[in-house]
Formats: sequence, C-alpha cells, structure tokens
Amino acid sequence: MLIIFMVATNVLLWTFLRNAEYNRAVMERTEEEAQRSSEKIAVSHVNYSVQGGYVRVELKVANEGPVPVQITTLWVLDRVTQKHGYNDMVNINLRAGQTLNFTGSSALLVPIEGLEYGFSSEFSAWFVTARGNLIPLEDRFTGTKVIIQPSGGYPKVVIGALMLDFDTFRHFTYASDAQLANYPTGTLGFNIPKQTYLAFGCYLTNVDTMNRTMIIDSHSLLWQPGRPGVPEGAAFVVNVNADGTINGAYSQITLKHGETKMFVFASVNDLGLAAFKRYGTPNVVTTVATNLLIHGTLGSSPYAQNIPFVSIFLS
Amino acid sequence: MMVETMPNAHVLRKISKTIFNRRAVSNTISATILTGAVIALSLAVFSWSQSRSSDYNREYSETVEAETARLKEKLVFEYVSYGNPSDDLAVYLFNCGTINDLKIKSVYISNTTWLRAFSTPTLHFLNGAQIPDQDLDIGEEGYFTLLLSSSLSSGYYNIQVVTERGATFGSNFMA
Repeated sequence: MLIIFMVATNVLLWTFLRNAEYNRAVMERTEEEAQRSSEKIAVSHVNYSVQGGYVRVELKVANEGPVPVQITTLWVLDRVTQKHGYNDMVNINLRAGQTLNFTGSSALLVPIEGLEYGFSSEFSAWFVTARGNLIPLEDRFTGTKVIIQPSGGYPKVVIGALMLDFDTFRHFTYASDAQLANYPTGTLGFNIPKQTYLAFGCYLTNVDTMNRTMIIDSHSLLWQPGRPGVPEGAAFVVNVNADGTINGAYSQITLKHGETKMFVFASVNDLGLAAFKRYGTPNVVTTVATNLLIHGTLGSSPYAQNIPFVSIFLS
Repeated sequence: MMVETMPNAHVLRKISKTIFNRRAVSNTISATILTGAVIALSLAVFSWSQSRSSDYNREYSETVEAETARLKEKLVFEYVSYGNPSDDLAVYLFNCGTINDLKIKSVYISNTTWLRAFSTPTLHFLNGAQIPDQDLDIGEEGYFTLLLSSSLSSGYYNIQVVTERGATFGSNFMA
C-alpha cells in the first residue's frame, strides 16, 4: 500500500510539474500573441525615389498601440519588374505613442538590383516587426507610382511607355554619304550646325508598366516642325553598324522592358518606303523644336506616339 | 498393567515435548523467511513500479517538452517571390518565436486542384550565403528557393511549411 502510494505520488507530482511547465509555455505564448495583436503602427507621408541602385523611402511612422515596437526589416517590391530588396538593418524602436520621421538624410535606403537603367515604376513596401507583424506602407493592392530620376544631370522624362534621356541627346556628322564620322560618341548638346548633313542620336528606355516588349519600325522619326522662315525637316530612324555605316534597309528594333538603346535618326525618307537619303539641317539661325514620332508595336498591340522632345539651336 | 503403562506415558510426554520444542524454532524461522520474502517482494514491486513510473515520467516529459518546444516556434513569411527568375519560388522567412534551431522539414505548395511537396529545402541567409547549421535561430531571417520544373498557372497558391518539431505555418502567393 505504501509502495503504491509512494509511486502514485511520485507520478502525480511529476505530472503536475510538467503540466505546470506546459501551462506556463501556453501562457507565455498567449501573452506574446496578445502583444503581437496589439501592435499598431501608422505609416504616412510615404515617398519613394531612387538613388543609384537604392530605393529611397521617406516616411513618417507612429506607434499608436500600447506596446513598444521594434521594426527590424524594410522590404520594397518593384511591382512592375517584380524585383525586390530589403534592408534588415533599420532597427527602429518605437515607444508607445512615439512618432519618428525618416526624411531627408534620415530616409531609409533599400538596395534593389537592376535599378541602374532608370525607369518609371510602382513600389510597394512593408515593415517587419520583431514580433512578426508585417506592416504595409500602403494599401495591399496598390503601389506608389514613381518616376525615377537619375542622381544627377538632366532629368529623364517618362511619356507613355518610353523614357527619354535628355542628357544624352547628340548629333553625328558624316564621313561619307552613308557613314557617320563620330559614331557612337557624337557631339552631346543642343547647339547644332546649320545647313549640314547630320544624324541625331538619343537614348530611349522601355518603361511600359505592363512589362511588354516594344518594336519600333521604320515609320518612326525625329520631326522638326516648320514655321514662317523655317522649313520643316524629318529624320527617320536608321540602323547603324558599329563602324558608323548606315544600313540601306531598316530592320525593326526591339526594345525589351527596362532596356535602354540608342536610336539614330538620319534619313529624310522612311526606309520602309524609300531609299536612304541624308537629312540636312536648314540654313537658318534659330531655335527649333523637335518631336519624336514613334511607330511600332507594344506587346501585341499597335503603338504610336508623338512625343515633344528637345529644342535645338541652329547656328 | 498400570506399571506397564507409566513408561509409555513418559515416552509420549517426551515425544510431545520434542515436538513442542521443534514447533518453537520453526516459527522463528518461518517468520524470518516470511518477512524476508515480503521485503524481497516489496522491493521487487517497488523497483518495478519505480521503473514503470520512471518510464512514464520520461515519456511524459519528452512529450511535454516537444509540445512546449513546438508551441514556442513562430515563423513569419516575410515575402514569397515567384517567377524571378522564371519558375523559381523564393520564400523569405523570419523566426520570431522564442526557440532556436528551427529546422524546416517539408514544404507544400498547393491550390485547389494541385499539390506538390518538397523536403528539407536548403536555407540561406538573406545575403545569399548558405546557413551552416540549416536552421533559423531566434530573430534570424533566411530564405529557401524551390525550383519548380514547370510554370505555375496563374492564380492564388497556398504554401505550407512544416518544421522538424511538427509546427505548421502557411501563407499565400499569387503566380
């Protein structure tokens, strides 16, 4: 009887001890879940920009909950390219009721590979807290549209599905009737010699928000509208070989999403309809406008766009 | 006749005495033997009970410890990336629980009509380096990549991660 009593007591006490340990773990877990549920972070004034290969996120973050919150990681997703990046060194500690501003030099930087070309995009971002909450910086299904600016020089401008790089607008002279003299370097700038056979070059980037590939056909040109005293001019797109030779026939240029290529406009005639003939600048000293008239396809859809481009001064 | 019967009575008495004396010695021994037997039996029973209760206690402790450890596990899906590059599924995880050595045993990807299982995916730190001990400690972030042999059809998918301790964590992603 005594033995039964001793053994039973032993088992009972051991069981109680273990049950107590498990109950304590359950209580701790419940408390953690309660604290996790009570985290309340408000994020406002979110602004994205791009610096080099970094997305720069400016924001204001406030802890509106009753418990202190530690933010460990910031994730940024480019919703267009689906490229993502993170910064797991943010380590933001917010006391209950505290508000912090991350603007100017305090902005949070998140590296994302593949941003160096520059393009328009749509970003989403979210914080991860130490308790495991994910805090979106904007509504889950809407991102923030951003036109990415380069870190220096002239701004790049996005119009439609194309981004134009003013900084790299150039012109080329001719070594012979169908060969450019200083290709591909050319002469950068907007001061152009008058009454001269020239070709123009500029960089275009496909920034279509639906990730479609653009095909630019021979009907695309750089158009210089005329006005009283200034004749109009047109330089259609051409293919140029590495040695500067202009092909007599035009083959369509494919521009994938995010891809940047230099386009050269040199022919008075549309090479899909007629033979190559050099474009020459008018014999006037004045400033003229130029437009880019782009024609082709975007994905499986027809694409055509008239884009006001640069002004050039003829002298 | 009377004289003849007297010695017989004496002999009987002697025999009786002898028997009586023998009975006294036998009681002591039997009591000792009985006590010894009882003690031995008690020890055997106690030992057996102790052994059985120890086994029970050990099994119960192991069960409780396993349950407690599983309870302390908490895994958060920071991000699930599909199609970057093509047919790869990258799953970014964060151990926000209160126990170290969180190992991943299985991963299940499914939708309403399709299921695919993967076992013990290779864990990497966020910077791409492989995690040496292949587990996530408290506060540690990491990811694994699943190479899908064919593209997923468009739609929502469910992902379930099962840890070595038996805890299950799930999330969704859109292909």
